[in-house]
Amino acid sequence: MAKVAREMVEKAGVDVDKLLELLVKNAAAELTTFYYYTILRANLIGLEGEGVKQIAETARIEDRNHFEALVPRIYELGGELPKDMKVFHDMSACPPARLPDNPKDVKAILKVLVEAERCAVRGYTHICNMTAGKDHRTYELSLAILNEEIEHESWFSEFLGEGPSGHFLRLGETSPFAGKFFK
Amino acid sequence: MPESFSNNSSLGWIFQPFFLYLKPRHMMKTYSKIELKKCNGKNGIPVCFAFEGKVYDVSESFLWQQGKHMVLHNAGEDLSEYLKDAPHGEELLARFSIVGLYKDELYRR
Repeated sequence: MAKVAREMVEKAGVDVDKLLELLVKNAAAELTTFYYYTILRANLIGLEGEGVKQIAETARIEDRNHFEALVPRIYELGGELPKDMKVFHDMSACPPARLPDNPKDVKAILKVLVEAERCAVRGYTHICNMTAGKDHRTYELSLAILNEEIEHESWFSEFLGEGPSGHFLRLGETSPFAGKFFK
Repeated sequence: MPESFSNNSSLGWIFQPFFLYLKPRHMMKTYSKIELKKCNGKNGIPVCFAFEGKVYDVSESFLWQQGKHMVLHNAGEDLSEYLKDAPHGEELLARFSIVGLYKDELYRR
């Protein structure tokens, strides 16, 4: 644990135990999403599905990256991950991104994907609001992740006909914002 | 007239949002602060909270497991004051059913 780092955050007025619970819940959301997206991506097939597969894969890998980026901060602040993976799954900050009943329905898969990203955007906005000007390191980490989650949301939203994302698919390395926290 | 409306001098029970017409206000259960507090999601009890005079049942929500929401909020409480600080708006509440009216809020009108 980074004792002084935690003290500084506490002195700034952040309830560190609540923050840690949020960070662990969001780490759970990232890892479980990585798992569920693996299944979603595998089912994105055919003329419609193949077009979505690349961005689903990028989002999947970046969500795993977010998990990797969050874990060091959890331990720095004196927190820990649950010993039981089942407990970890069930405490996720976002509902499971399960494969829809009809796995051939690409639109239904896209709705699952966009809902998962929207949940993440809300979650990291919440952590940013809680830590802004108080816990600089967690804020910067959450902001980096938030930037990527917003891009994921806009990619899937575009496929659902909600308007242009304004982006092109990720070229080069994944996690351009959060990369520095886990490399 | 039900007990819950006996102190309500306004005509708010007539002019209500459209979706409440699905179940007329006078047929809805009215929750007092104590009754709402019991709706805490513990030991299989439904998970409810009040927002602007309406009681929502969020038992089916993954994000309200065990009566807790995002670490900060507990079931069985009036959360009207907190939505402005939340990273979501009132539109998410429309996903859940309204199971009653919150009496303390009615008295305030």
